Amino acid sequence: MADLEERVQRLEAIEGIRRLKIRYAQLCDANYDPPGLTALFTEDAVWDGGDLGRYEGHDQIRGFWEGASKAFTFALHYMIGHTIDVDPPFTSGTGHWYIWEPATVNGRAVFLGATYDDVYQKVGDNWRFKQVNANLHFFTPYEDGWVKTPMMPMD
Amino acid sequence: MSIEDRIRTLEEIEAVRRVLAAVGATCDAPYDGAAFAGHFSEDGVMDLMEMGVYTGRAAIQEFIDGMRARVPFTMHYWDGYAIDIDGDEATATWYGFETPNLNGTAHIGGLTHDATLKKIDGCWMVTRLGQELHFMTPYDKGWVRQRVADQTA
Amino acid sequence: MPSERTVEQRLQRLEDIAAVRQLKHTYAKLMDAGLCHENAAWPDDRFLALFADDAIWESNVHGRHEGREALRALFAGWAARLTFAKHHTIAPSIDIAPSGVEATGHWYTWETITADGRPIWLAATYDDDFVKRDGRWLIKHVRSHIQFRSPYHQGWAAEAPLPQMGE
Repeated sequence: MADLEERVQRLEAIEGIRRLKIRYAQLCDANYDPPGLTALFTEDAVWDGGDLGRYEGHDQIRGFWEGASKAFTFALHYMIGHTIDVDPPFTSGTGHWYIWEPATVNGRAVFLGATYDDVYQKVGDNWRFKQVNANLHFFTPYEDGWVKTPMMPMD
Repeated sequence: MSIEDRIRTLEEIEAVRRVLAAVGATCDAPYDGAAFAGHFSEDGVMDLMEMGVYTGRAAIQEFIDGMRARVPFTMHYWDGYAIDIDGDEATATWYGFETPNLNGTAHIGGLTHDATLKKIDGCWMVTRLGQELHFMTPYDKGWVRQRVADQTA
Repeated sequence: MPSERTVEQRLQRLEDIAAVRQLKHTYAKLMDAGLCHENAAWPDDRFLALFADDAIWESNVHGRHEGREALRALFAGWAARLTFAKHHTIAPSIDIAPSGVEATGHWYTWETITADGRPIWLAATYDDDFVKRDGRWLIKHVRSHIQFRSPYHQGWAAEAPLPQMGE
């Protein structure tokens, strides 16, 4: 029965991590709810988005979401193709996700395409982000596309 | 919860995900009203907000078949599911991206959806399907220039 | 129906669904790394090892290709033409056969591609077969139906559903 327990825990961990990522998406799309999003991260977490900046710990991460909520007045975070890996004792895991994101940034319609490489940690009964690495592939004005303007300047 | 209960929960999450994927697929390339409505309970409700509320399979089927007449091509990309199981009932939210041809013009649509389901005679049936339309814009415009196109033309 | 299966069988089915889902998403991730030229060796043995050695890849546009070396040639051709690709794999519906060693999967992809220096949208649906050999799931048969393949600045109204299209 111990073997069955471990196998069920693994599937539950995968589903729990999946739900964490979807919750992240939903809060981002609710105008980047800063306290709600920050609570999804461990105290010592890092959010690293390359050109979007690197933020460590709750204070910096909350500040990032506060800024995002001003610049991104609309977004839909489609979190789609993903792989999730977990091992016993299922208190940590990693994941790779594709995101497709139509958004309005500083008044302009943009398409954002990226992948995430995440590290997850279980805190009590809840999965949390320990590390989020966002790899931007394009951040392009709607009229331009990713060949003409792969990365739109933020300001 | 026993191991069996925990496995059942995981199975039901997967089953609901499958049913909703099947519902979305009935709307592709393009709409099949009977197949779509067949996933609803007898008194199921489809709430499309400004596009109307439809109660019962017949009304739902009629609306969906009406879409087929106006939309010669579309694809529905439904994913990003969050599904909760409570015995023989379930709730779900998800994201939808659509690429319809309306009035000879490509459009793109961004939506979020929600549903309640009930397991009836061993099958998950939709008791309520809702949506929030964030944009449905002609391709040459984008959602800032024109957030919602006139879909009844 | 679940009540006719043992707990172990039910668990195995869920694990197999998770494994097939993981396999398809790994296919997309490795393919995109290759088509974006992040992996100069692609299509490499690591990628082709995702496929059964008698695997088939076919689409309404690319025709039918059988066996790992034919697949290697097909994918190498794509890498020669494309400089960027992201396969957004969406809405998996996976069925595990009663045998437990065969499976089918239906998916959508929404793709952003750069071909010959131009941005392209590509929309496809997939109906794939998978096999489990020596405890490992492999891709056995990819059936891609490309719904449209359209220039970014044009949209897909003229092309969808896809008529006959040459490469």
